[in-house]
Amino acid sequence: MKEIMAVIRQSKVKETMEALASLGVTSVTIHSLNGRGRQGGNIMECVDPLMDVNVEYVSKIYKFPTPSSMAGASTLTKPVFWVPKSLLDIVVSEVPAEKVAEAIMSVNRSGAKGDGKVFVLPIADAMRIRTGERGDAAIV
Amino acid sequence: MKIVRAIIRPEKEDDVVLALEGAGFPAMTKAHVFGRGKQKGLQVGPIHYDLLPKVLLLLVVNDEDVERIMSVIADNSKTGFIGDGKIFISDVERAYTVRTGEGL
Repeated sequence: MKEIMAVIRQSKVKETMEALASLGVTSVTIHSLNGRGRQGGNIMECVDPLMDVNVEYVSKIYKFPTPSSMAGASTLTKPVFWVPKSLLDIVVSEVPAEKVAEAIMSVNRSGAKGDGKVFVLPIADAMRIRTGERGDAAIV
Repeated sequence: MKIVRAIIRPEKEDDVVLALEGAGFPAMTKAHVFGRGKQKGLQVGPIHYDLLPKVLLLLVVNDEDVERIMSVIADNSKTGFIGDGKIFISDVERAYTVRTGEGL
């Protein structure tokens, strides 16, 4: 049993879900949250005006500023920037985790900074609450 | 590699994030969550607050950086009162950058 945590762009969630469904992975938990990467959420450093994906990326920030991204005007000397992201939480037992990670990455790869990360974690145990099944049987 | 899940006070979020950035860990994910601890929330007079707002920070880091990150988070989110939060560490088997497809 493996858990796959994928932090991806919010605009790519639908495509990713379709790609996962074609692999036979239909059970996914989605969180909407904020993230920042090696650039510290400072998107201005990595904007390439020739790339459409970045233009959309920038306008999205200005449309939905998070409270901490506006902190520059207040007491803080340095603003803290956050970028809206989606976190997909997938637990698999039969489908190999590497295959799921590959599928997520091939859909989300645009070549620009901010494409996200995929993490694979071990899962100790699982339980299907409805039936009380444990382990692999709870996931399938 | 390890994943660090830190549940901290929302008002300490900016302090912790800036301190982590200063220590060389700018990359993280945050979620606004609700939780309660051993005290089952908060009792103020006749009013009981069951779930209190917290900020959850997720960082995936190398094994040798875990202790340093834990001390940075603890130093900057500590007030000494109940509700300061918890830090959880678990294993990560693989980590990929989507843009390049390579492991970290």
